[in-house]
Amino acid sequence: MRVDDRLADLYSVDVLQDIWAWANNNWDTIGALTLQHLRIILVANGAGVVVGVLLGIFISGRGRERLADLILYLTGMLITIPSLAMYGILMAILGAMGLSRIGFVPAVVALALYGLLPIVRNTYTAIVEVSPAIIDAGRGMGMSERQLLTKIKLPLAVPVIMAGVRQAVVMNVGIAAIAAWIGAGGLGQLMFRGIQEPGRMGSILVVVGSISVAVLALASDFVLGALEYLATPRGLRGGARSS
Amino acid sequence: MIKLDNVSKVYAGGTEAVKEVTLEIPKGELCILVGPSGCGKTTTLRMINRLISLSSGKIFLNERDINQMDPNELRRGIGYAIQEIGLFPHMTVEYNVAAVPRLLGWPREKWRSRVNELLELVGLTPPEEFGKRYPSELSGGQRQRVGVARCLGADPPVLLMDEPFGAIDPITRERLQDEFLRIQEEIQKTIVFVTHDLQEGLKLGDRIALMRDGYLIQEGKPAELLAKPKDDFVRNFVGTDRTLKALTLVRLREVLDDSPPTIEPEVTVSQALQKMEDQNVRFLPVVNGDGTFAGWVNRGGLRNLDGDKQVGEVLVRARKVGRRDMPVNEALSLMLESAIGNLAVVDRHDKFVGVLTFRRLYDIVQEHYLEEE
Amino acid sequence: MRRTLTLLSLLAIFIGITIWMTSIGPIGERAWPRTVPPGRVLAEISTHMQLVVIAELVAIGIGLPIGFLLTRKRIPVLTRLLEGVVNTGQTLPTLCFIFLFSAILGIGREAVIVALAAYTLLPIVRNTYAGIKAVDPAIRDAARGMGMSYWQIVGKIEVPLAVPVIMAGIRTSTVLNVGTAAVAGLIGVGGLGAIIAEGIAIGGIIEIVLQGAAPTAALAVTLDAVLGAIERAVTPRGIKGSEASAVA
Ligand SMILES: Nc1ncnc2c1ncn2[C@@H]1O[C@H](COP(=O)(O)OP(=O)(O)O)[C@@H](O)[C@H]1O
Ligand SMILES: [Mg+2]
Repeated sequence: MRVDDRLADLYSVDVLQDIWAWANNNWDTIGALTLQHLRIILVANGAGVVVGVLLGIFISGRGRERLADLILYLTGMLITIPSLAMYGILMAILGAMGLSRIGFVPAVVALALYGLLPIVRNTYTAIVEVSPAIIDAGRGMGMSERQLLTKIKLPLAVPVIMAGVRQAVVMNVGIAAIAAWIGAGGLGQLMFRGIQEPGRMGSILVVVGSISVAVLALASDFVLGALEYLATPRGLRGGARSS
Repeated sequence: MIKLDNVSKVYAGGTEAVKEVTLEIPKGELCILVGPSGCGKTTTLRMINRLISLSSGKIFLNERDINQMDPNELRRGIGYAIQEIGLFPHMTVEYNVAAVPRLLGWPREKWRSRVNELLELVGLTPPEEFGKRYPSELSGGQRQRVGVARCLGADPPVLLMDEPFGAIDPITRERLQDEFLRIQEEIQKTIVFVTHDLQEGLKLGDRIALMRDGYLIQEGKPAELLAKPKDDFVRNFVGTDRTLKALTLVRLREVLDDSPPTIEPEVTVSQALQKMEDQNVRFLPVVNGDGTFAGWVNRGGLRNLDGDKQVGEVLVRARKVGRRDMPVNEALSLMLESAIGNLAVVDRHDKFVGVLTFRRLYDIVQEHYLEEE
Repeated sequence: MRRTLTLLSLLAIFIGITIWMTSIGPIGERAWPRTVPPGRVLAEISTHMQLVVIAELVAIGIGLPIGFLLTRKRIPVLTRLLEGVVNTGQTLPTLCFIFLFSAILGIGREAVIVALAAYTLLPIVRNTYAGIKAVDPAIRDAARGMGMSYWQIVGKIEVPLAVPVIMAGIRTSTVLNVGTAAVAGLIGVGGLGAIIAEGIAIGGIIEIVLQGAAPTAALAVTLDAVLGAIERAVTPRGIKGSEASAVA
């Protein structure tokens, strides 16, 4: 189809009606795909949070500055790999390991890896940047290193870690859409199906898919933003982080 | 109680921060570590609770070598307050103050009531209200109070305080110092208190240890330090106004003349003149029948008056009087401000208890507070 | 020094992998049906570059003037709106931009370029605005006080001080776009994404995937380094390491 045909097509009022009509008839499909989408992200980022926070805590330990540099650099590299390339490489690696090379597994692994950087970086930075006076006060009153971590550093880091999780999830909503291409399902399926299908039906699918993904991204940003706020003790809100 | 025996500290970089310091702090005393910035005060203090390890020498707490004790146990038994306060921003005031008691596993009711008690003590009332606040919701002075309350948390017999009033405006600082003195009178802890402010040290300390370049230069009672500086460094550090500083350490009650001649307001002017002649004085304090101070009469003033008038009608009222517990430097200031040059001293019930004259002040300073040249 | 070394070794690795995969072909005993010929790789690199560079130029061409104009009048509502739009825009996945524009404009380079440019436009407007706004009013006052004209102040004070911030924005968005443009390969527009997509479609042939992925990474690393060098070059010596990073 030629460009101006499409334009004419999409700008006519009835295409919008068609999109709305299609969506109205297919809420269950959209819902199911959204759930699929969310499932990938939840599993991936769930794992990402556990690994990322533990890694962040580990590299914040005394005498591990060089390791921290290295890990942050590596996770930073990971995030710059185009998602397509990441999927491709994972397919090959997982295939060689005898695991499923398409679908859910490579998608989850890729998203977990992408989510690592914001989570590790935020955990690490938040812990390292706790004011020395606070650490000093804690140690001076006889807290063990473990108590310092669990009672002081981690609670102070939680809001920052939450911000990292939020960043990771929002970013992954988009990347997960690409995962449809390797058969992982999710809302990306609508987009890819639509782009391959000529004519008005194709446009409808693309628009519905794209908008759903966009809404999902905005919604997760909002929800996680709210969680971030709730996870912040009153004493830390409004910028006061010291003394 | 606390004993430092030949203690030295060499940092990893090679800085010799503390050199062969020997110091003993008896139970219940407040010892000030004072000296210029970088002289090793903080290092000395932090070696006592093992936040910094010793390079050589020994430190004993109640005759026990601190290196034989578990560091966390040791620290839980020692209150520690620092200039930056280091309140935990994610905890309410209540939980901040209860930090050590909770580490020690006190039951909830016990630490709750302890927190209330401490907040009362440091003047954060009502404790129920302040306890629920976060550090970010307090003023600088209030945070400092929480810091003090926190280091008293589990009622440790020993406190280490590192410039705890350093980051506060002068007016609030003075008030906190006054309250701190009151608190110390009540709780009688053994305290090592670091400051770079000699004035603060003189005001608070039972003993003062002056440091320079890691060495302990001189140690003793505040008055001793002022009266007998050991060398030029100490003399310089205490300043050329050391005699004035010494006066801050003396209370009026210790130096006043408590049996000066007085007269009653009902006496006539000529009788008063006669009395001054007899006593060979130029002023007389007028004291009412109930013992309260009425004012002054002086010879020059009375001479031109009708001799039959009563003293009560012609006396000069004094705008300022001294209180028994007033430091003598403040008394001196009042004397300089007044026209008479003498200061009447009253007690808490405004009863006249004596006077201080320039002459007397001079004699006392000469006698007790000057080093022999 | 360390930075240069890291950069060079990364480049060596990526370019090495590309050449290796392309010239020698399949790794190990498993003989895969095919790899992509060198000419194809070069062609896709060229396409990829075009997508990124043209989109970036369009975004700069439109974004700079808008950002500059926004600073000329104080319209608080507009600035807050801008912040909101930028934040929302950045939250939306780029993928959505590409697909929506493809649906509207038809599948083709134009759609991809417009999508990338639209996505990049917002941060460039914001950074231009923020960069100029961040110039200390005292400096502006001083310049006026010494008799500079309006356009002299713009040209000699505001723009030079804002350029590092603007460059930082350009650099970040360019590097991001190298990755994003790979999606174009999925919808048949070409670029290195097309090679990766082919590798995946055939069933996960790592050689082909790497033939696309390694040059993509090399491209990103190179552009990051080049733009970083430009950024440092245009940063006046006096403000190095301070303001430029603060607002970016
Ligand atoms: N952690 C450290 N490492 C190396 N040198 C230090 C350290 N802490 C303090 N110093 C040095 O030790 C000396 C004494 O410091 P400090 O005890 O903090 O002095 P004060 O508290 O009297 O100002 C100073 O010269 C300081 O630079
Ligand atoms: Mg100090």
